[in-house]
Amino acid sequence: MNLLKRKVSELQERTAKALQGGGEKAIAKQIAMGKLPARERISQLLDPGSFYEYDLFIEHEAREFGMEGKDLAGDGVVIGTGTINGKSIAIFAQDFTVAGGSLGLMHARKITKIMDYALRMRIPLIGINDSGGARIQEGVNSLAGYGEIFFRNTLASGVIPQLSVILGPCAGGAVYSPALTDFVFVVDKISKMFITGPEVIKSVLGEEIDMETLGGARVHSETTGNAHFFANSETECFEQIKTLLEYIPAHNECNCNCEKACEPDTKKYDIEKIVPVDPTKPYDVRDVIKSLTDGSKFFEVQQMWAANIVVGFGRIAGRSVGFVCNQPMVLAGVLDCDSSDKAARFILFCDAFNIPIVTLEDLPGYLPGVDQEHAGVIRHGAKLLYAYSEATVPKVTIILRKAYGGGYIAMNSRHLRADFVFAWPLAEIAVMGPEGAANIIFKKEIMEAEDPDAMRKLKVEEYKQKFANPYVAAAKGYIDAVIDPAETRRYLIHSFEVSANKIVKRPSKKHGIPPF
Amino acid sequence: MSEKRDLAKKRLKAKEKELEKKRKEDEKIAKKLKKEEKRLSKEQSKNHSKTPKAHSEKQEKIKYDILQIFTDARKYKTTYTKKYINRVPWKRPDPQEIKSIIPGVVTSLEVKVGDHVQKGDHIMTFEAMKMLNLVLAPFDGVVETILVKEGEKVPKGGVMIYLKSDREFDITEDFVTSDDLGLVE
Repeated sequence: MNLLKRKVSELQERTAKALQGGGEKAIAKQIAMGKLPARERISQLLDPGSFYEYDLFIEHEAREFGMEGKDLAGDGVVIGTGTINGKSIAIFAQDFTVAGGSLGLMHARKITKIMDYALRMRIPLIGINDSGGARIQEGVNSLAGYGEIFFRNTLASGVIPQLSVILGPCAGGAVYSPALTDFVFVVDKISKMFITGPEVIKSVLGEEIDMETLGGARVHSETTGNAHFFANSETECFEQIKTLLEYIPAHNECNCNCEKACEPDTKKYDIEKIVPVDPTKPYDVRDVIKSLTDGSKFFEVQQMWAANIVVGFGRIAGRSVGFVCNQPMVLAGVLDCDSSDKAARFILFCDAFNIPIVTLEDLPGYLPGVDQEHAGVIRHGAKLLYAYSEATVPKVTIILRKAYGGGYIAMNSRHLRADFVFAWPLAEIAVMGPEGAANIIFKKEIMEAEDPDAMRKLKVEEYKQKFANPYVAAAKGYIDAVIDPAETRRYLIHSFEVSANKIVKRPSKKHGIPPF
Repeated sequence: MSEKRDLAKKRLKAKEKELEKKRKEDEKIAKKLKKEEKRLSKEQSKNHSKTPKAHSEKQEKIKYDILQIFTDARKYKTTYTKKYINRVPWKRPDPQEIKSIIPGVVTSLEVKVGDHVQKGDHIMTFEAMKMLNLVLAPFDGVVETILVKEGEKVPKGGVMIYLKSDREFDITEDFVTSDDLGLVE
């Protein structure tokens, strides 16, 4: 008995030493930078007392450059499993206090170990990145480590949700692991992501830029679209992760995450008053979403980037649903390179994890301009067509107002295999807007008329009467029903109820070739 | 040939005029819309005592711009994104400007101002991405200005040399309009 006690106390001693990480000084420095230590982050994110840590006593493999004598606690990374709101997850958190969180062979091996666990157990994986990059002393071994991580990211993609949380620097090759995962969380003033840092850029190109402007949280949320969620503090970031996990399942064969249904707040969000009848007037499409979802709750993804399309999660009668909606308030809701990219990726995520998709459509078309054409709007726009066509989850489209030309086809039309397409009575479904169409079709009449402007007006009105309504498409069966806006939620609930057993057979293939 | 050129130039000028007209029209419409907005917001503030305050306040803060999607078509009231505002208007490139296609450093200059070079002549060496690239003259011409020094860092697209072509460049050359392609706008 005495011997056991001695052994246990030795364990406690070793554990206590390992848990110190980089020591008090390094931890104080971390806190001074406004960052939490790795284990503190895990305990804030996970349910109290639910974390089990593995590989605490790992030792690093560096034998060169005087590294052999150095002791790096846990080799700069904490791995383990635990629960968030009762749901199991796997997590790794790089510890910046130990050798700057630099990635060596054993550090990478710990990360790949927990990734393998997550994939085998089919539970979501959360990675907290806070690292100075590759451990130079370990040379090519650290590169091998990154490669092994990227391979597993790809393997796990579409099987388990992978979340990357950038809570510190994440530079060089390291950025590609978050880029391969499904959602990237960043925190203002703390997260920094770039391939080459400001110093290299200065020495090579002579361009002077600071870290924040080069690859800060705001840049990645607004400009690059690399980040999906922006928070002002680490605590706010952890709340976002918890909310996201409520909407997404643990793995790709799980249909779960139904909650008790509740009604939307129709007093605050009155669906009949949000959308103006005049097709050129703007409104916030998020108000329409909130008028449809349970408890008027909507969790938006990539809120600040390509705001002309809104994507995110909500619940319809307890079922988690992905929303893809044109935003008339920003750039009239047009599709462009970025918005197509953003929506396509979100659709692929929903499809991979059995989350049905609601599309709220109100757009004038694709954005014209040399910059768009030269940026490859054809290639980027095609991503949206690909994603919608490939998705086999239940897909419902509601045409609120405008559905013109290529935009009509791209936004989950019947032709791309939407399960249900409904249109409001205000809908205008046509090959192009009345003004543009009349100018082409009646070009001669207008030019030859005594008063071309009056003639144009007349012809525009004629076209409007004839084609700018939902009934032409309804007559062809391209839309299933023209519905009263107030009935929208009822129709959505029913659509998802009847498509619960939906099954689609596709030709067998290794994988498609999306227009990346 | 010169007739064709004149024609093309005329066409360009006509287009420019048209664009100018459109711009003015847009401005007019924007003004009108602003007036209407003011009127509406006044009316709203009269009628809106019923709706929750926070909501209407949020809506009043937004400043709307105008976006036109199709030629001569609707003008949408909406907001712009930063990216849209900062987009660079396309300019016809001048082939006489010798630009760097990637960022790098000027290693050596092989020509002086006033030198006459022939197509294919080595005019400078430019180091980029650890490679020494030979910059060759794309046509016969005279070196009019040299904008860089040896050892200078040049960003992507930076003009390094202005090479005046012997043959006169006509910017309307190879100018194909949608009319020529038989397309209807």
